[in-house]
Amino acid sequence: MRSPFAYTPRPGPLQSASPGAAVVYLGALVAVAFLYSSPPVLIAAGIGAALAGHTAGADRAVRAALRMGLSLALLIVVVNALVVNRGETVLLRLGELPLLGRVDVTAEALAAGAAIGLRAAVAMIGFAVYSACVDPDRVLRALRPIAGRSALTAALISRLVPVAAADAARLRDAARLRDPAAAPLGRAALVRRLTAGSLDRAVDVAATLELRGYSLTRPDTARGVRGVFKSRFDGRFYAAGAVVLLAAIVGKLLGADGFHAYPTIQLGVGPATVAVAVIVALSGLAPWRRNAPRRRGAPRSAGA
Amino acid sequence: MPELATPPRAVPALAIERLSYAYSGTGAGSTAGSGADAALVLRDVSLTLAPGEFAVLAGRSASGKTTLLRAACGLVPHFHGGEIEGVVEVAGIDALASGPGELAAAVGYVAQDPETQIVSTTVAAEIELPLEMRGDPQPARARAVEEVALALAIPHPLARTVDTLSGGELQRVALAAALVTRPKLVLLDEPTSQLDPVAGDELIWLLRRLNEEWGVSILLAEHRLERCLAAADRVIAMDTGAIAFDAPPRDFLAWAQRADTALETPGARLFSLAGIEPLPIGVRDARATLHRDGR
Repeated sequence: MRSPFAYTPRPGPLQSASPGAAVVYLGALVAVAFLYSSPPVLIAAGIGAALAGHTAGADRAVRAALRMGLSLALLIVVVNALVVNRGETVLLRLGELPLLGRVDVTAEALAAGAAIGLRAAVAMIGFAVYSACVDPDRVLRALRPIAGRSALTAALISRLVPVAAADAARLRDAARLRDPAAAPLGRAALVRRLTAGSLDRAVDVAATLELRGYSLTRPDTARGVRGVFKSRFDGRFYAAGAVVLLAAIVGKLLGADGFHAYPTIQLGVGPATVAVAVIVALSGLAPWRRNAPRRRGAPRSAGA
Repeated sequence: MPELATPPRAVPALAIERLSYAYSGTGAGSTAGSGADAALVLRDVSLTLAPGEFAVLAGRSASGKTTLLRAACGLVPHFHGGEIEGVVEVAGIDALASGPGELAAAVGYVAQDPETQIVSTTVAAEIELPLEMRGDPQPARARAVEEVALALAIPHPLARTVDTLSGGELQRVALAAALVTRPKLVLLDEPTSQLDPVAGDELIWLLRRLNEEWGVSILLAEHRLERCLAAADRVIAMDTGAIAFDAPPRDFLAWAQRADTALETPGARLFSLAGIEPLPIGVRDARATLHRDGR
């Protein structure tokens, strides 16, 4: 079965956009998650990224990223609650625990962990949408003028996710084929093998790129590749990315990020926060396609 | 009496002279030092491959086969680093001075794992990539892709995504990408190791056909020698980084019987146990010998 994160060619605006425009747009949503701690804005960034994936037709990638992102967020909440003793609202006293010492679970540590977890989940959704919607071939070609002498860099940027996704599918299949009596293969072990294997394989892919002449100076490099990767949708995504970043920065200056976890939870949701959240969430509609392409010769309507 | 024009000597597809190599980080300061000898992966290797020759590179694991192939395509030392001495020329191009990119027009390389040799999302894009990288115009690229796809019987449509292909199909696509520049030499590092026996046999005979029809020289590293000896003109056996034997396949079988039984093919072992001569280089050869002897 194909990985949900594997790129699928579709005739949508996000898939047609140049890699630079897609990176600016999705990167802006992820940047918001790293600029803000306010849960409403973080949730809005998550909605924006998920909406972008949905309107671009990458529902499977979004669902998979949500599952993984929310699991990771939960893990972060638990770990943060156990290792951070700050905060005035003690919910649970677990006493002295080996390695951790005295553990008091506070509402503030839970809230701070949730904010960090949300941030990680938004980053994962954004990356999943990028992986499923941006053609790695175009990324590879777009990177050539920038990283022409470094096939490894290009391989890591453009091929690591597809190669890791293919490896993950194979490892999952192998795990399913194990004897039911065998010890189950934990997710951590799977991730560890995947990471180590993927980096090795990225080096092999980089070697292949070298052999294909990736580092050669192309005769028309001086003319650049700008024209090759332009799309009529680029302006839309550059504009959406700029609006999101601008709103985030202005909102930050106006105090839209009114969240402090310690010593007590303070969440300020003023007009600026609401405005930033709405702008960020609605930016997810940028890949929306107004009309499906009409087939040549197809009637406009039944009565036409 | 007018002087007869002497035809120009054909440039060897591959010429290696006194090649020694150690990977970086193995403690070899210089390949010339005696202390570095243990770290050498290739030791004083000399080898010439004529245009249109089909040679099999045999040897146990870690005997230096892969490193020799990497040196012949420029990945060693340009990509993997390390200390190198000697001369490597591919179709007259100095492989130690030129990088793998510059050598791409003269040499194609196909590795074991087809997955890591595919860098594009569609079959056509993958085959076309080397031509695109060197700036060939689009019509010429499209024509070359069609030609090589036809020669290798790669099923259409070529716009298919590569993740829908089987291992054998992927290996064919990787081979097509290596051949699309019409190189003088193709290096293959155990290309059948991840294929089923039928797909593996098909690949070897496809190579033989390309070798005969296109005149491309082939250097094929293989463990399963029974599969490829019948297609080869010559077998080069490696042992701990040095060339241990270099002769036609039938002589190789006799040598393997004496020098390294791990390199014997199952058919040759069976024949030698039964006391039948000569040792067969393939199934057809074995059948012919048995018919001739009336068995």
